[in-house]
Amino acid sequence: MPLYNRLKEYRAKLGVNQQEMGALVQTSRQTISQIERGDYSPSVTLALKIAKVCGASVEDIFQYEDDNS
Amino acid sequence: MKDNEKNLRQQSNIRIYIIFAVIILASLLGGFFMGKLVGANKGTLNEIDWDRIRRLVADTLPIVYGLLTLAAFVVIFVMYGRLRHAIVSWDGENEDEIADIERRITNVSALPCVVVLVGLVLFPVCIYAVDRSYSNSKGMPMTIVSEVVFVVSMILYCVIEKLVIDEEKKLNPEKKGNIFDINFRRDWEKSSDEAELIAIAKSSKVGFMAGIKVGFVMWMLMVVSMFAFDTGVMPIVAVGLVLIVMYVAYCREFVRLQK
Repeated sequence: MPLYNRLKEYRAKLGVNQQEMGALVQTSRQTISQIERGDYSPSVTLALKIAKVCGASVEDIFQYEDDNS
Repeated sequence: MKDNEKNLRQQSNIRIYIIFAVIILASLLGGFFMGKLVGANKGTLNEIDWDRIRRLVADTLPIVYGLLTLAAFVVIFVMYGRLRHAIVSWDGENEDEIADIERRITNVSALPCVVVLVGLVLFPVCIYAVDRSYSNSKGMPMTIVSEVVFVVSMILYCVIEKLVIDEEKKLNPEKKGNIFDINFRRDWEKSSDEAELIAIAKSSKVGFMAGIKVGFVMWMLMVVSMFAFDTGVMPIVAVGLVLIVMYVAYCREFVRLQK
């Protein structure tokens, strides 16, 4: 999956664990964990919520890198 | 470039058609030889002492079923105990630990389902074998053993599922649903988020595909067994009904979602 993210880094800056991060963006701890591991690409809504909570833009947290590039 | 791609696609299609034709031919030949084999051995099959086999099953299977169920639930409760210990010891921070805990929750929740599903097969086999082997009250103890094992396994299944769901809810307070409520699945899914719903959908698809494959294999076996063991048409009707319901439900939902 060519979607890379810096969610773990941003979460560390906020000083919250996965459970608390999940509560902040109204999702489960598992989803946060899956996104951080790169196993799951969040929906646009969730990506926007995460960006808002982190005080960053979606592009700062999530990067699309084409495998061919 | 485009011509090259077209050629490659055509070659790939030809290969697909050849493989498809080979599968159909192999199935036809397989069916033909299976039928021949059954026909040639019909006499031998008729000589099998079914009464003796039924008596053996009636005398041993209820005990084996009981011991297997008991052993399985002992293992499951030990796993649950360890899981609970891991949950209590979790510091709320270690993410690898919680990922491991969640994997174990799934295992502890899935195993009792397997035990109950195996019981759904073994229980009727036991009482059928006992009923056909003993025409008097001699078969009563084995019938009671089978029934007790079946009922106890159902109760233990409910207990362990309730305990596991409670632990899951403690870890994920957003989760809703009571295991004893008939709408439990609906409530549970409603309280699941997008990643969990995708996981449920993907797992369901794998289950559906496995069901279809096994359904077709079972259909073939039932057709052979109808001729070989005189099992009648009911097994074929039952397998066919399950396949039809699965396909119709899948297609209906797919059409609805496409709108």
